[in-house]
Amino acid sequence: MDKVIDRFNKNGIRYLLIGGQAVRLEGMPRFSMDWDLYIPPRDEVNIKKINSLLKDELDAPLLPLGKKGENFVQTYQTSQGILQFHLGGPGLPDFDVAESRSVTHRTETGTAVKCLCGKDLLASKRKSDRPEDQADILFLEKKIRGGRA
Amino acid sequence: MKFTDRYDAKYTIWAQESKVHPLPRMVTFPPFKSRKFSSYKAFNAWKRGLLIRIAEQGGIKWTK
Repeated sequence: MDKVIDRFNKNGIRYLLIGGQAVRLEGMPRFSMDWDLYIPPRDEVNIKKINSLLKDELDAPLLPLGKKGENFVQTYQTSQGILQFHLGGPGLPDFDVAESRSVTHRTETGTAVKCLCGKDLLASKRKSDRPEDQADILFLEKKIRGGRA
Repeated sequence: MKFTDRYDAKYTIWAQESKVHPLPRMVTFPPFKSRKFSSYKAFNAWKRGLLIRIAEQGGIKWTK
């Protein structure tokens, strides 16, 4: 997925990594089968740019959030892995707010990734509160308490 | 009791280290077409179904 992220960075795409991969880049040794990206839900220019950059990867165009919540989550299988675009989500602040507080982490191969900050990540995990979120919550609480996120 | 005997010691150590651990690559993931969801409930239900499909095929093969 580093190639996709790198293209997004070079082309000024507005995105934030959320979910399990974001927790992994905070330092939690965990697995996640997909990459969850939070994008501004009605920024049509941004969405058009993503569609253009990933035209060879997406089997259907990424769409903005509909009036009745359509397209809230859009999932794709790409040659780089499973990519999920979130146009909102439990516990997530508005995109502009989240973006203003975002942090940059690096993957194991050195690619810079814009991520939801630790506190916002913890809030989203607490709100989701699924069984699989509990270890992430414990890790993020310890990290934030230690002043490392 | 030593610090490392606590069940949650690993989380403390990971939080202090902040090291990014490499992600294994999946090589036999079942193919699927793109999907769009209007709610997390629908999305999570679809994801559960996908995990069941993976379990039924005997899991996934991994590579470094």
